[in-house]
Amino acid sequence: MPQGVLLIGWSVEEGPVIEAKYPDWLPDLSREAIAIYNAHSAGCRKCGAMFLSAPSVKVVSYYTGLQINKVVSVLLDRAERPDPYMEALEGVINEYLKNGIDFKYEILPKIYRKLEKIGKAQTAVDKIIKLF
Amino acid sequence: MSLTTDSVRVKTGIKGLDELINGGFPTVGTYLVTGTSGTGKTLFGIEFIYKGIMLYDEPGIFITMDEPPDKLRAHVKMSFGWNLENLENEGKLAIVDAISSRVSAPSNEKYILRRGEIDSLLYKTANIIGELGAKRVVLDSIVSLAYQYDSIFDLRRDIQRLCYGISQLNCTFLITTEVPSGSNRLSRFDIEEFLVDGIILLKLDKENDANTRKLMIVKMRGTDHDMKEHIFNITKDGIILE
Repeated sequence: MPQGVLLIGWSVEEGPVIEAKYPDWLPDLSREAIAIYNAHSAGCRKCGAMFLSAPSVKVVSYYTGLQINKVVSVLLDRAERPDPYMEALEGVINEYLKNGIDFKYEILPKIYRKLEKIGKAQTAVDKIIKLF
Repeated sequence: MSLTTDSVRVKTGIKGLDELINGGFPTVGTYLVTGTSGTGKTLFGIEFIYKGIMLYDEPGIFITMDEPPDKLRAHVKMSFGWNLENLENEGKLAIVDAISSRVSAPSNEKYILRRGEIDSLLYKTANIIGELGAKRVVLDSIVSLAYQYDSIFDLRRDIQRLCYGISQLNCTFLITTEVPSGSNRLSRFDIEEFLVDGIILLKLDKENDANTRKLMIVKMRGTDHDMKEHIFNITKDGIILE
């Protein structure tokens, strides 16, 4: 199940910064946010989704491209497969980009709930796979 | 004394039926609704799902093998005023289109079964159960799925896998099947009745030049149940037992 969602932006003074997070009780992940943003930068800052597994976090993440310059990262459980989340995240963010939705805190709970459903679906399927 | 306590009963919501099975189906089982054509099997299934959502807040999945989802929605709305589309939009109901791909027709449905094997159906259903938090699943009917099997043993094994898998996800599973007209059999393949926890037989009897609908609980594991035939009517509110 997803642990939470981060919205990472860019500040001239500080570089990559967490602009919003959901749920609010998530710990300080500033260092991880820098690593995630830099991973997208390594991909020539191209718009799109990626999966990143580091010792401290496992995320699927979407970079909106230079114009909007935001990263939406979904924190996953260690045991989870990223593929279904990546596909779902791409779908949601592409929809937001198409409709010109602002990337701010309000979108995070919606993204979380959508991906939580994916997580529950995946858990059910995994249970069946284990059965047979 | 009932063998299962009321607290774990799954109420069908069908008027007059729950009283006959001591308050509802025992939870997490597979139940067969069987009968000849026109006896009300599809209605029974859709009412079980609809009432589950409306009365007991239990999301449900209806897998339609024979009737296209659009037609099903329209029929149900026209006959009973039940708006399935609203429930789908609220994320409480999923109608799985399991007919289009079988007849090579296009489909705009959200949930489509693209492959006909029972295993594909199981994984697809598991996915939706997780997504919706569904507690009730109806397969209408098993017959169209079963016809692709050459071996009755393979069919039996796969139906068992399907029933077991869905019960492991804590869902009550209701399957409909057909009885050939004029026979005293309980199912099309003579195996379905052995794989389920309960059987409800729907009949259409000719009495005094009029057809009378009857319901009988043939089998219900883990609970006391009535064994008589009961007349029922299909009304604007759905099925009502006399």
